[in-house]
Amino acid sequence: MLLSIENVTFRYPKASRDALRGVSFSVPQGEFAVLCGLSGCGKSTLLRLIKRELAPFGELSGRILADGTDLTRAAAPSESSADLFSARTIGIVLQDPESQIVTDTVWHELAFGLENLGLPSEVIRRRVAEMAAFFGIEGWYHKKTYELSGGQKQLLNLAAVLAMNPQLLLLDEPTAQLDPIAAADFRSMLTRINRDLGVTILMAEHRLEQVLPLTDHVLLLDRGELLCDGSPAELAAFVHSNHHPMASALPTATRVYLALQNTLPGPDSSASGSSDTPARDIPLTVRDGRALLSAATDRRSPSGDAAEAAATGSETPALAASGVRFRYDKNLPDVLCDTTLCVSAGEHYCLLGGNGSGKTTLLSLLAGLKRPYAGSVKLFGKKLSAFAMGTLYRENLALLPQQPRDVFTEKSIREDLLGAFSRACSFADAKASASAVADKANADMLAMCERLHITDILDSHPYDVSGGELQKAALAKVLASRPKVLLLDEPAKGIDVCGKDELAAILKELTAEGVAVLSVTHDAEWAAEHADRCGLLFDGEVISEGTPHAFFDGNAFYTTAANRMAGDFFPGVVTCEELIRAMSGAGEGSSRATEVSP
Amino acid sequence: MDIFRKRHPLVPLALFMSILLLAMFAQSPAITFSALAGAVLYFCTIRGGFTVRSVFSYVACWGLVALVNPLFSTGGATPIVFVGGRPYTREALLYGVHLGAMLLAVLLWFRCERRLIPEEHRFFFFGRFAPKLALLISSVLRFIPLLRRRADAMRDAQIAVGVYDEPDWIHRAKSNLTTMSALTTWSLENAIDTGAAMKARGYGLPGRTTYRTYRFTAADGLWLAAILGLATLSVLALARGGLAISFYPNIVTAHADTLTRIGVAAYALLCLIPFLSVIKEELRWCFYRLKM
Repeated sequence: MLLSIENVTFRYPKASRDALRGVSFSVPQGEFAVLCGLSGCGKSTLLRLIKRELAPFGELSGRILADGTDLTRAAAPSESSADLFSARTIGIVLQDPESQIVTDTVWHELAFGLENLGLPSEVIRRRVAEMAAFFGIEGWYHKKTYELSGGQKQLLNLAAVLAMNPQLLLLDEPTAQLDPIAAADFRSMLTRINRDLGVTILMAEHRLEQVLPLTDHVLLLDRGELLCDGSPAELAAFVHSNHHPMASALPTATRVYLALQNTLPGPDSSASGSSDTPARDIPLTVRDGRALLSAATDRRSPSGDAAEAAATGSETPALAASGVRFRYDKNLPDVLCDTTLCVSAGEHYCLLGGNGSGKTTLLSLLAGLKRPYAGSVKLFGKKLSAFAMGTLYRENLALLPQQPRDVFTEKSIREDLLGAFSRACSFADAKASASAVADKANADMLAMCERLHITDILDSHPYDVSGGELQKAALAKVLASRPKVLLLDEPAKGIDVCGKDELAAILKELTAEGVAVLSVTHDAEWAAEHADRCGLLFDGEVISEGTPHAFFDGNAFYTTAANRMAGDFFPGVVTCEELIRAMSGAGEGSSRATEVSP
Repeated sequence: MDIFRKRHPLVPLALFMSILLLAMFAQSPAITFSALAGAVLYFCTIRGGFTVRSVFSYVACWGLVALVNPLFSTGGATPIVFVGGRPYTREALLYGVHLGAMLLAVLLWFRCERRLIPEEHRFFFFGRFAPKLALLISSVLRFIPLLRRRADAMRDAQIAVGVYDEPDWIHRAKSNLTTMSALTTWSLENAIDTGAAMKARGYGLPGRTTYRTYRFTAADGLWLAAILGLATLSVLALARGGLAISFYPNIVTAHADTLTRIGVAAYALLCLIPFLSVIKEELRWCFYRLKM
């Protein structure tokens, strides 16, 4: 066994409960293991304990053996030999691509770890060259590290760690900050490292959709306890039968299969009548899912395109951009060119688009942070520039940036929110006394926190809470000014399934109250489930627009896994639930194959 | 273009320093105009080196220095006109022309230096004598653009939640201060993460080495010897006083003997090395294409 975790229990200082409780598992040489679980389940803590240089302080019992050597601080207290062993044997890549880079040039970054190991220049030259070639970095070898894209930065971090030739590679949600294309590149690189170089990998990840097909060993952590240790299929069966929240993070094909395994008229379900799922047959990819579908449905169903509600009303849209053009510099090409976009009150509009398609730029134009050089942006029919100083961001428009921590400036979330709410209160009622404002602000803030379920993190520092919690806290701050139009930049990025669903529920409430919500996202699945209207930004223009059904069903590639799976079997199916419903309908022989509900 | 990319950094550094120091301290038209000619010729080969605007501003600066000098210095013996009762002399004008040329030459050589010494070799001396300082500089250079981007993002975020809405400047200053303190928190947090990543990759283990992307080869030795030889010849000529010139009250030049002439030629050659290297590369390509 390359890595053995033996009955590890860990508690942070002053914490009320154990972060890890009696965790035992082992990872053999050459395996690709995935450690999954919701945010705050102890994934990161466990990985950092394995990498002794990053081990957090606290009470630790049990043993952590890497290649037969106990590396815990208790067993090998700050000996440089243990440090050297750990530096050589175990590599780690963390979540944030940016903060892990140490130096200013790519070549120096690759050499950095080797310099630390005290290798001579000749050896470093060879290792760096090998890694650059293996990763295809030659093209940007002489670049500055800050010029790289997020995906390139994370690949560089991986290459820099691998140059040190570790036996075990630890990864802590390495693709959480990347766009889907860069994340797929990164994952395929991991597969290559595992298969071609034989490096053992242990990766923490909560998005199972992408990683389950890659791995052969999954570990499920829940509140510090190891619940499941087995193959992807065993994990899928486990979370499904125990109704664990991670069940909704499973790949679409798996979810469809598990939901219908007893009703499916297929060879695999007839083979097993028992409730025990035949683990090896569980489909994990879109390809497997399509095979499942073609086995289950012997005929093509009639096209079931449901009548879509007429989307746009005739009243003035809440936010409208028309013919907007923008470029960062006179000599640079247009980022946005004749972009036209409308969002109505009470609508959740999701704008999708690839990396660098100008989504974030468009958002900052719509928020009035940048000005287009042609075209206009109007809020309720009034130009943004026509709003008097200090009225635009009060009860009108608010923007939640991509990094939610950017909105926080104080030492605790409570202080920050109080500031925002008292500003809002003194604006709403200019004549109120200071104490009345303070009381009202406090009451308003508590009500908002109640609503967003963040009362228990109010006294934490904004950097100490999980991504999903911080996202909600930032949303609370942004909502303090009671905006009628809410702009969100990548709201579903890096948060786990529970967080995503919760966020969507909050947005649904807001739209029901008549707020217009525009979110910019890479996440097709999220947009399909929760948007009222979707648009695709490409080459500086919104090129296709429509309700999620019309939008995703018309796309062949840029669409949800459910739609790709359903394809011509069940046209019009976009989300996983719809596919399950459509298939159970088909299985019962009902004439209507799809019942698409808006 | 990167004529010295594969050379040891000492080679372009020696060339640059000898050209620059002589141009600054020789105070001799022969040296000054050699330096200027070398820089201009090399600059012409750089893509985007000269633009209409930059040429105009260089010439304007030169002209300004030349024309303004006689207004302050009235030491010359040959007045051209009288400005406000003060003589505007030919000698002072020529001194201005020389001074302007020297300033321009130094300026242009500094701009050439960016091309001559590859960026990754610029911290060669730090890397050799103060490796920790070199690493510090490298990580600071990485961090500054990051910090700037984060500062913009944070300011935008604060604007969009209405923090900057108060029109008076006291409030704005306060808001800026708040953003700054948030930025400080962010950089500390970022530093912790970077520190963790450094430690995880073995930083702090004993016996750290410094990776050099260059080696000192025999060719580097030849180059260095040639450059230092030419520079020595020029210094010798200068030391003999054969290049001396005095502008006031009349322009008097020293008698130039053979050794002085050789020294000037050596300096001119030194200044032409970058240009000639580019030409050599161009010719090599021409022949290469012809043979294909």
